[in-house]
Amino acid sequence: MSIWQIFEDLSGWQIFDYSYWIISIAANAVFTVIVTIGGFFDLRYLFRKLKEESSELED
Amino acid sequence: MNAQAIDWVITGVFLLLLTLGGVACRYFIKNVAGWTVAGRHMRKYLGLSTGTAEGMAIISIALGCEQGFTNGFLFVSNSIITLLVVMVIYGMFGFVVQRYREAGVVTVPEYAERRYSKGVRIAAASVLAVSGILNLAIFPIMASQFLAEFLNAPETIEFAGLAIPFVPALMAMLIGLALVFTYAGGMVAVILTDFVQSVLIAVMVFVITFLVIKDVGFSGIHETVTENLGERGYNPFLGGAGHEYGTLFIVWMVFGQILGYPAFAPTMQKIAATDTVKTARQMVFISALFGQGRMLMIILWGIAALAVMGSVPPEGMEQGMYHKVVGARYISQLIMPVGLGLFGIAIAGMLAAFITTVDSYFLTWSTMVVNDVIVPLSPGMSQRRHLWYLRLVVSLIAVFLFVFGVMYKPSESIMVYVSVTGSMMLGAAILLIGGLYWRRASTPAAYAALVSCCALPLIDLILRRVLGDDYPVRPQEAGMGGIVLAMALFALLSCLFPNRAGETEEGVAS
Repeated sequence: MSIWQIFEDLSGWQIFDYSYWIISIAANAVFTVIVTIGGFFDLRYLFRKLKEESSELED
Repeated sequence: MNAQAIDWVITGVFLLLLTLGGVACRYFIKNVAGWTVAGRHMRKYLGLSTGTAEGMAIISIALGCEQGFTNGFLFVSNSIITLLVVMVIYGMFGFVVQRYREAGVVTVPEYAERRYSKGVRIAAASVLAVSGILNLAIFPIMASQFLAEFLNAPETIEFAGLAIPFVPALMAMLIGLALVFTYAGGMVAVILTDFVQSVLIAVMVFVITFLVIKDVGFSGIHETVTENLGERGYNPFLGGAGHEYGTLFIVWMVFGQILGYPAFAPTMQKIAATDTVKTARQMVFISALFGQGRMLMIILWGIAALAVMGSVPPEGMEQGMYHKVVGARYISQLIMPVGLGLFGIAIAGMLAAFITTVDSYFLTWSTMVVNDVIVPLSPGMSQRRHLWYLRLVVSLIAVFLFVFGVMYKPSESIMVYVSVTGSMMLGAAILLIGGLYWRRASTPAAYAALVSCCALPLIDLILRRVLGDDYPVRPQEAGMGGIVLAMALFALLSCLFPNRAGETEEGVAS
């Protein structure tokens, strides 16, 4: 019996039921918010470092 | 067209702001390291956004919809393989990622010179660049066709009294946009667009998935797969004539993922751009998890499209093309009545998804051609000249993509095309893994792995187009044959002609 048959027999692919999607979408939403806020500060850091390096090169 | 005035305003403002941001990146690029790896200052959260954006191009959306439409849940197997391989092997254990980042190189061919020879560097760069550019070649045309269907655009548009075909015009515009971003900001622009895209595309994916579930329902999705595909919609191990999947296909996917990750230069260049090894591993681990989560949602869109639109193409459209664009038609119909500018946000999200992927690939393949082929052959090049070459090569790649797109006639699914051209790169992974972890790995073995892994899929691709339906070999047979041959030759030649004492051994396991 393949692993796919086990999945089917267990749940008829109901692993993709509402609870899966609610968890998946909620986790993705939280991840997006965290990455958006964190990414904003990381972008500021990136531009600051690149600016410092370009000033050093010009000097 | 389906879009309303508010949608065009949203798209226009978004494009304007993004372009201004991309062009502003130019002021931060003063040297080659800035252009190619953003000075290696990418921290964790930007790494996560760029990692999740990587796998979410328009072509990934088209591919996910096509797979859901034609094969039901089978593509879930690919996502599971990706999760297990990328998240566990490369993310959790840091296999390859840790030593590669510690080596401090920008590209895999650069590592190949340190470990093997200058010849291997040039050969690896040539193979990777050719296969990578071929891999990228269908992105603009498929993205344009997908977007044209999404917009319900006419075949031609009137401009200055001329009837201009819409899809080629859109393709030229998309390639031009990606070119502006790469030309102006290099890796910094890639990181910026990835950041914006990862947020926009997340909102788009959530909203459309919600609408799809509301429209068709879980029982509807399940019934659609059962009625149209039966067991073939669930079990990826079922093979047979005219069926893409089967045991060999799954084995090919497993090897393709194991070797594909370190062979895929755009990903490795982003790893090279991280500030530390820890950031690189976190980026790989977490972005694989969330990237695949989003991909699973897109498979649902394709199944729902089958339920609503049916499997018969409209009059005048080929079956293969219908599979590629039906998802766009369906989601367009789904979000049109919602209003609130959602259609405009979706257009902006798709444009961002195109730009962010293609500018990243432009950057990688041009870096590879210049850094690993032209520079080794012309040492002592100035920084200014180096940047000039990089921008010239990007422009040439853009011209090639447009010509290829105009001439392209699809004869296989997007997944098969991307997998076959991706297989051509896998020799680079074999020489990288061998170089990092096996002291005996040698230069002749590296050449053999590169050539054999590239040759079989390339011949397969050409013969498939020349012979059409008479061609008896399946893509997985050619792809897997190339991998087995390359690994066998690499092992055999490394044993017969091992790395001699005195040759460079930087990055080898101690």
